[in-house]
Amino acid sequence: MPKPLIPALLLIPAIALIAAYDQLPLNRPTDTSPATEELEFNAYSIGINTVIYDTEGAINYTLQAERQVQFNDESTELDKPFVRLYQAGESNWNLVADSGIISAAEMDVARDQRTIEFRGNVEVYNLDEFGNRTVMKTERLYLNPEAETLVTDEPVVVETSSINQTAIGMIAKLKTDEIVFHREIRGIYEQPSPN
Amino acid sequence: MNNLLQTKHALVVAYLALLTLIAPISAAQETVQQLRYSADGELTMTIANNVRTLNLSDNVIITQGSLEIIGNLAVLEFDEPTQDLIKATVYGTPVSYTQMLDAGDASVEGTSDSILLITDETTGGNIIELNGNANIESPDSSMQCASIVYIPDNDLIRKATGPCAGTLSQSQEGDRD
Repeated sequence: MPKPLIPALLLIPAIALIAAYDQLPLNRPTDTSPATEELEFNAYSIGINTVIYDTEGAINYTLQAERQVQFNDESTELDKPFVRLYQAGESNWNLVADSGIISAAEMDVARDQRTIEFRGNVEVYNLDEFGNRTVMKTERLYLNPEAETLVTDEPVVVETSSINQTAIGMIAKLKTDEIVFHREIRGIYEQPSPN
Repeated sequence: MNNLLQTKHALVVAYLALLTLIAPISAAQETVQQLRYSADGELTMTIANNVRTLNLSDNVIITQGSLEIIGNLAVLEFDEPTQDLIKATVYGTPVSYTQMLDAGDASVEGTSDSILLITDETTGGNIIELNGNANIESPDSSMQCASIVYIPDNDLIRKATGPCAGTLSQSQEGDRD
């Protein structure tokens, strides 16, 4: 090998090293400022109890929950919610579930049209003047508490003192005691045995 | 002392034997009293004037024991204070009715524009009213009338409203208009 070629060959890696110097993880200044995390929520409450009144001052409904979290996107999540709906000052229908969600989009809607989504072991029940209990069970349900309407596309089970019925989908207007079940109706009626 | 023990033993055995006889009878009665309903379409449930009303649509089937009524629409009415079934009305084109009779393998079949199922307050048994183009066929009778009232427990046509055609056994003759 000719002698002038050897120094030339050594120059090539040197030039490459200089060109890539900025990419090397050597002598890189460290960031000494502490890392900061932004919280996803802006309000957190335990054991809430909200009372909503109508325009005439009578109780419209109450909302209780073991925990309420209001997120930065304006949505609200409820843990173990319990809703009690009132008519003419008296509690008639009640609702419990594993969780409830008021989405951010719903917060932009007028209050009388706002719905709450309930998920997990949702039960809606009442007791009539004769002591007969009606229970509706589903896994997901949308409640408009001001209009007292319930909507679901999920399977629904209805139990009364004498009727046990399943269906798919439901629209309930609790103020007028009218419930429409959409399809696949299966029911059993049996006269309850006297106590 | 031995006689007393033997008497007690005999009483216990007799009591247990009596229980085994009563239990299946009670179970059978409970099963028969169940009324089942189904529909492919919507069901509307309303409560007014202490009456709970169920309106069913689309391939409606009502069964109670061996009784089966099939139609297009049905209305079930229940008395809320007592939870009693007031009546079940089924409409169809036509409505069909079938039921096994107590005597052996005999059955009764019928069709009409509408069928009304009610409970006889005296006997607790069912009363079947076939209204509009009523047609019924039982082991002893075959009748076509404007309307027919039929008692399945007795295999009896209690009332038939004319014009009528068909055959009616002597044991079946009740009221005939």
